[in-house]
Amino acid sequence: MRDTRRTRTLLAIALLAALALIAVDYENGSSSLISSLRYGAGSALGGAERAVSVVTRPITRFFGSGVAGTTSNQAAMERQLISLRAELSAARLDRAQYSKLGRLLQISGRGGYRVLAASVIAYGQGYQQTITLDVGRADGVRPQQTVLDGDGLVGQVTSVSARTCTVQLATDARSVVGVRLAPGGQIGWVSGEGLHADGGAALLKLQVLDGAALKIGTQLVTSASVKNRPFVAGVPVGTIVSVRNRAGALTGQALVRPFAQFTQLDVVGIVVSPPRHNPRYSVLPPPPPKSPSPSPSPSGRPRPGQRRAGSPRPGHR
Amino acid sequence: MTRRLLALAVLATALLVQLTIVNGLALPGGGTPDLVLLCVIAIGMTGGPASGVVVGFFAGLALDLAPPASQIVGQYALVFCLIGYGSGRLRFVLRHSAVLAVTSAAAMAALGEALSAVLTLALDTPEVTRSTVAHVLPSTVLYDIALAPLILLCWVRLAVAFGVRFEPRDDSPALEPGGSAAPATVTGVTVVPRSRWLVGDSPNDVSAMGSIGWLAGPATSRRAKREQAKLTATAIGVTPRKGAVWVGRRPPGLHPLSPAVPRQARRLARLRPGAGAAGTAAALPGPSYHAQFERSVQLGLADEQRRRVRADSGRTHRNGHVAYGAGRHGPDRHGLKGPAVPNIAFGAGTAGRRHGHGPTNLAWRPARSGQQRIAFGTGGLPGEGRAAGRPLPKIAFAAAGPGHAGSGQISAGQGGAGRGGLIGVGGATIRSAHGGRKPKHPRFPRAVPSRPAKARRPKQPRFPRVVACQPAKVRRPKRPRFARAAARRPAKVRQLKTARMSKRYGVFRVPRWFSRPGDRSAVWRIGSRRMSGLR
Repeated sequence: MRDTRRTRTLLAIALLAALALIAVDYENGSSSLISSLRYGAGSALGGAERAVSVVTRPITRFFGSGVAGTTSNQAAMERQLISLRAELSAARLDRAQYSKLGRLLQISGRGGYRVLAASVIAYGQGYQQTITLDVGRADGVRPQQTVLDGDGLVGQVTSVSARTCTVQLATDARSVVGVRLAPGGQIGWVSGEGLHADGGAALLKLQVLDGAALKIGTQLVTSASVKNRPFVAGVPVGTIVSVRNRAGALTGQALVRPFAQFTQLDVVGIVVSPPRHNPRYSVLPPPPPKSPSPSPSPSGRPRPGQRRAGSPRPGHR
Repeated sequence: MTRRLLALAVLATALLVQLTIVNGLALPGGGTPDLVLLCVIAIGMTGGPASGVVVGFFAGLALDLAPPASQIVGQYALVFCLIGYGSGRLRFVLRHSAVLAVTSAAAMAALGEALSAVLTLALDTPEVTRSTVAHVLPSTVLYDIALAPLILLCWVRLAVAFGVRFEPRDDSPALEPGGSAAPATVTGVTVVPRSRWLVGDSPNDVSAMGSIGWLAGPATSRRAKREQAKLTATAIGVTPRKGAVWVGRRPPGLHPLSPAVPRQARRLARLRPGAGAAGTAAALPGPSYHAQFERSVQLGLADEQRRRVRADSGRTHRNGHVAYGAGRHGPDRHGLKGPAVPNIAFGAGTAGRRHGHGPTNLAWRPARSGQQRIAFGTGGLPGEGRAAGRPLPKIAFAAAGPGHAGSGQISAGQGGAGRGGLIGVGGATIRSAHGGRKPKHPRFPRAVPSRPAKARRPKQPRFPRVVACQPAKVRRPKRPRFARAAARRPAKVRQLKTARMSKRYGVFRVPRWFSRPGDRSAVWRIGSRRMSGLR
């Protein structure tokens, strides 16, 4: 097919359609056309993603766990070794997942949340900080519910289709989470900083009205939203790693390293019913040992619930 | 249909893999490759602009709507349909070289990433800031560039494996209605065959062996083409033809297994007028393609002309004209019939007589034989027609004088004569043409035709500085007179048929490697010996 008048007409039509879609969505984010389109695509493509993720989830997990290569010389031994190792790694994967799930249950038990466990099946494209979970409206998920994992806050549910839902991560620049500083109870809010080049080490930006209360190592929990939507109270958020107080600024600013590891999300929980009482700081992990260095190394990051959970080995999360 | 289904399957796979696996990888640099974009580029580069637009739009829309998506709907659709169109326009590079194709795919991928980043920034979405883009974009582009060749190769191989045909004829303008290779119809039979690229399942449609090895690129040199043709011919059991140079894509050695109707006038058919399209020349089913032409056209190229001059050098033309080529345009020479074929005379013997009367005019006088002549630069008879009232163009081809036609030296230079300019014909000499026979003494006294430099120099030469045997010393005119005369002409310049061709050689010309194959006519390409480079 050559570049003819027909081709250019086709291009013009496609461009106009795309621009019209952009205009409609930009003008009104919740227009019925766009939402129905999203719902339809969510049902169709979300189902496909669910099906695909059954196959691909072991693959993605496999990358994380890392299996050593084979070393044996003899073919039979090699084959046997491979099969044994495959079994072992599958067992490891199960155990890792199990321990994650266990920690999730512990955290929810301590906080008194009722949690619906879900798996991540897809990740956002480009600059978006979103994930898709394999539970949907049929499982009782509604928009604006809190999502957490065994370590801490993950985000909130933004849209729900029949069998899948989309979660906006706390690192997304659009997400704002009301927080409370652990010992004192000062109120502030945490917003995401978007995608970063050093992948994984995404930090959150904390702003509090009382700048004097900011200290490195202070832990944050969510403060309750109105009617517990989108965030229930008491979910661990992170630890302050650096303080950026500026003279004359209205708010004190700090950077927060989140508890949850946003690049390795696997099993998460959706809080389907809020706790009866505010758990306050009971869910928080024990405070880390006093480290004099202002910039803690990533490996020294405290793992909430690790010791109390009695997780088998530190290497297996 | 197969291609559409295959494209759909590939795009769906790419989308799902992208969303479920690739986006979840924490790669260094923070970016992730965009498989969907690369697939759109690959499909566009093999399918053309229209399929690129359609595929790009729908793939982008799917990416906009697939569940984790939270951005404004239509962003990726906009960018991807533009990228699909662009890569469809770049389709021709697939035949030029593999390196060029891979480079173009990588460039389109980088362009696509940049476009989508710019669009996200322009739409003022809060989650994307400039610093985020600056952090993430370089690594994303790098991953895309690294993956682009792989995706392109995989798509082409997959398509070939599934039997998808890539029609080569589709993107040649020569095949447009009225184009130089438009399907000619002889007694109702369309003679341009459907040829295939990359795939051949019948000997008639087989493509060259080795060109299937796509990444190796098409053979560029003539020798490589011959080798390829031999290989193909051996493989499919036909005899290679000797000496033919292929213009289209069909390898030069291939006869179709069922030969066409015996061709007429094969002897002179150096140039096949229908050969501008791929494979049109050899595999012509039906009535003979050449039967359409009563006589084959033979282009007299430089060699041919030189041979003619050499052959004619035995005859001496004593009629006082330099007449390079005069008298050789007879009916027997060029295959053109009719006595009224004009001679072209460069200068005339009267030059010597008139030199005293100012700038020497192009001498025109009726030929004794009654033949017409065309004087160079006038456009008609001087003093007649639209040339009436205009001063005669000051053109003089300084002939050595009458009686030296055979040994005539075309020599010229900017007019030393002080008044009129002489138009340089290049100062070439054709002395070698007459076999060493010594020329007579020129009637034209001051010009020194045969002795180069240190012969007696004329003090006040009437045709000064015209030293025939020393082309090096002849200064070239800065601007020939007739060019100025042409510039004065108020009439509108006639639109040439070759306008399409000539506009490519202006200031803003398109680079040669960028122009699509088939833009020029086959004749032009042969004349300038570019035929092997372009296709």
